[in-house]
Amino acid sequence: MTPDDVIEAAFAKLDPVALGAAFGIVSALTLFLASGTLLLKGGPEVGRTLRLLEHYLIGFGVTWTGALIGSAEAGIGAFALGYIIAWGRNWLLAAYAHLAKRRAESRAQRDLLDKI
Amino acid sequence: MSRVLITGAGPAGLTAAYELSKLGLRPTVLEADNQVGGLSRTVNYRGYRFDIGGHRFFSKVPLINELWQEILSEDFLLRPRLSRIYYRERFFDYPLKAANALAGLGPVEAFLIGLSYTKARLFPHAEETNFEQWVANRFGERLYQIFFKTYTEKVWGIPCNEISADWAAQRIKNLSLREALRNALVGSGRAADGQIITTLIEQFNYPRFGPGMMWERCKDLLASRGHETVEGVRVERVRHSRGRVECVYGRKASGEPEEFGAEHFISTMPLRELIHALDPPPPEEVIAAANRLRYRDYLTVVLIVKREAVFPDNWIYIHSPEVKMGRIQNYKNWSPEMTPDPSRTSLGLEYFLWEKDEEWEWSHERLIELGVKECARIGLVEPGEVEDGTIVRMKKAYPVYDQNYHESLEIIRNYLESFSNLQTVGRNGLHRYNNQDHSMLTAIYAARNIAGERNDVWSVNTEMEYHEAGETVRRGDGARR
Repeated sequence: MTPDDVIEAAFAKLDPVALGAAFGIVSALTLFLASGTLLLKGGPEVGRTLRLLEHYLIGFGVTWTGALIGSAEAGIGAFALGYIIAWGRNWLLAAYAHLAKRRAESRAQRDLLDKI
Repeated sequence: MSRVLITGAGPAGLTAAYELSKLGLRPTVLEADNQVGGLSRTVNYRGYRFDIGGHRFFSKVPLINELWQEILSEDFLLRPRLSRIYYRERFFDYPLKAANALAGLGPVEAFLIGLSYTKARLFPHAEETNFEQWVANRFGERLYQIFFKTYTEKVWGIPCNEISADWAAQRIKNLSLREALRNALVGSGRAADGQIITTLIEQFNYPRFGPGMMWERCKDLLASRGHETVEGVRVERVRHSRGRVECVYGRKASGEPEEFGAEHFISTMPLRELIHALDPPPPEEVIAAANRLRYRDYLTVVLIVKREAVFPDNWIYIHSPEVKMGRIQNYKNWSPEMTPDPSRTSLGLEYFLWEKDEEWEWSHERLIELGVKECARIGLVEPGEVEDGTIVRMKKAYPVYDQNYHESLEIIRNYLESFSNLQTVGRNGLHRYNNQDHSMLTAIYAARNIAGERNDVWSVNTEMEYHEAGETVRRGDGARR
């Protein structure tokens, strides 16, 4: 792998929608599966710890309905987070690349008189 | 073995011959002068050697570096670079250093420069059609006025707003984003393959006895392989028929005419001269285009000074408008062996002129007097210290990039492409302000074209990849240009 290949891979743009969707789907599924597993296991106090998420996800509960509502909310929230992360990373890399280009051009122009 | 006739024994012509000899072809080189090297020759005056301008040997093209090493090997010196600008009776380090420039210009001027730069960044010229706009957009109007305008106009003889921005774009390449990132992450001194690149800013290679040494040796190598370089023959006519050049008629200094035939022809002659030499003449439109091409001429006043060291720089840019000279070379600082006597210094005062300028016709004595007076005026040398001097004139040293040159060049190029066995190379052969390495590269490609490759010599020094990677560009359509 040449340095150019590494640079190209490292500076490749992230697709905010794709990263958001990935975050969203994984979060929603994780929450739904976690709730579902606990519900199927049953017991005297189902999902005592998981239930704490009620503070963040309105309508969530360790019930089949609550799990569906909470998963949808978690999915939306995680989508937004993934989108922002991708967008922010792209912006930072673009700013860095822009500055690097400006610096390189300034260096190339340092000896302008020699080229006249 | 095909015979190839090359007109001009400058870097391009001799490189073409050298490459052809390696390819097993039979080159013959014609040179109008009595010395090889063209703009890169080294003139010897009573043991004092001097350049036609300063020629730093530096290239990003591996092929060219290898060729230089192959020809000169241990006689290739690595020299430190020191240069300054003389402006408003002060010397400024060049490349500019912030502290030095601030000290020289003063805080008020520095502040105004900062404001002007900020303005240029925020509100740049919308279009960059000329050099003035190009520089002002990058450095600000004030810095342009101080450090670029006067010198550029001395060199080119036309206002900066009449110089095409093409010129700057060709000389100062825009970096690709990938290259900029590579510079930032891997280091600016490395090429794509990781090879370390030194820059011309700190040091450069230089032949022990000046650049002409390279070309004298190249001529000797060609002679040892049985290939002739004929000096003192001025090309008068290039006879052609049915899209092929048939022969070249030259005239020796004695007035004796001579005819040179070959299967292939490579011309490094200025395009204007080549077009006028064609027999039968080209269409009127082509002749008119050739007549529109302009060239800047160059004159050096060499002064031998009775002093061991005059200044430490290799050269000094003279921006001050009160003197005509544009630059001073100190040949001893390029290579100590450029001067035969260590107690003496030889300076080259460079004047950029048009052939029609009255100074071009001045006598040696008058020009030396001008040089002595101007050196005294800027405080470098006392008139009594100058013990000798000489003059060298070089016509058509710089192809001018005015606002019309591109259109004219296209007309000429299209016409010349109708010849199947003629290629033009080098600075004047392409009317391109190439450095020595790019001129040599065009010659190598032309030679290889004769051996069957298909390279576009006109692309050299227009595409970044060419000199970054030193790769051969092959035309997709299979046509040779």
